Amino acid sequence: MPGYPIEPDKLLDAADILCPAQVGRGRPPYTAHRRAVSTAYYAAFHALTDRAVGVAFRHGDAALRQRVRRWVAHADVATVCRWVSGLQGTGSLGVPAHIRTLLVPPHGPSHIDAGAAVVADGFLELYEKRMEADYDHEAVFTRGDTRATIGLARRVVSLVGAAASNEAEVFFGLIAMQAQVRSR
Amino acid sequence: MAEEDGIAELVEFAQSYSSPAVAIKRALVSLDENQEGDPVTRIVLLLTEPDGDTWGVDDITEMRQALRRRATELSLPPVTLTLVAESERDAIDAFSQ
Repeated sequence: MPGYPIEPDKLLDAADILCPAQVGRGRPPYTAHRRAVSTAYYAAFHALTDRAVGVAFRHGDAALRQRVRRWVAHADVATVCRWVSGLQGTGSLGVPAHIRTLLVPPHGPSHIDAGAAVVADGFLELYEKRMEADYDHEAVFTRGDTRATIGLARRVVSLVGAAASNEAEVFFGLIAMQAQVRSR
Repeated sequence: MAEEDGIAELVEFAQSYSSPAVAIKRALVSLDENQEGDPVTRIVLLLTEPDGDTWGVDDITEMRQALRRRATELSLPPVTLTLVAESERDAIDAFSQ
C-alpha cells in the first residue's frame, strides 16, 4: 500500500531539527521548541499505538493495522499509564480496585515490569508537556528542557520497540482494550 | 496535610535531592490544572549546567520518579517538570512573576 506512514524515529529526527543539539548564539526559537516538544510526544504516542495494535491484531496486515491505530486515543494510553504509575507509587490518581487486583494480584506475581513503569511515567510526562506546548500560552520551553524532552521521547520509543516480556504484552494489550471501534 | 504544607515539603525535598550528575539549585512548585481540567503539580527546577546539550536521560528519569513518588506521598496531584539550566535562568523569572 503506497503512503507515508507515521514513523516514530522520523518524528524524533524532526524534533531534533526543530531543536538541534548544537546551536550558535542568539535568541532561542521558542516556537520551534514548542513544536519539538509536541513532535517528540507524538513519536512516543505512535510507537505505543503500533505495539498496542500489534498485540490485538497480531496477524493483521499493515493496511489493517494502520487503520486500527487511528482508533487509539491519547487518553486511552494515558489511562493505562496512570494505572501503572499509580501502582508504582509515582502517580497519585486512583487505580480502580479491579485493575489493581488484575495487575498486582495479592497472591501472585505482578504484571508490571520495570520497563513498563519507565514507559508509563515517561509517557505521562510527555503527555503533559505536549498539552503545554500546544495550548498553554504561559508555558516556557528552555533549550535544556526541550532537549531533555526529546531525549525522554527517544528513550520511550526505544523501550517500547524493544519490549518483549509478558508484562509488556499486558501493558500494550490494556491500551488496545481501552480503544473503541470508530468510524474513521 | 494542607496543600501549602505539601508544596513546602516538596520544595524542600527537591532542593535537597542530590545525584552525582544533577544538582538542583532552586525549585518552584505550584498547583495548576492541565488543558483537560485535571490537577497537576508543576515543578520548575533550576539545575546546574549540563555537560552537553542537556542532562542524561537516566539521571532525569531517576530524579523525576523520586519527585513523583514524594508528591504522591504528600497527596499532591501528578507532577510535571520544567528544567532550566543556569545559563537559561532568565527563563525561571518568567515562572516566578
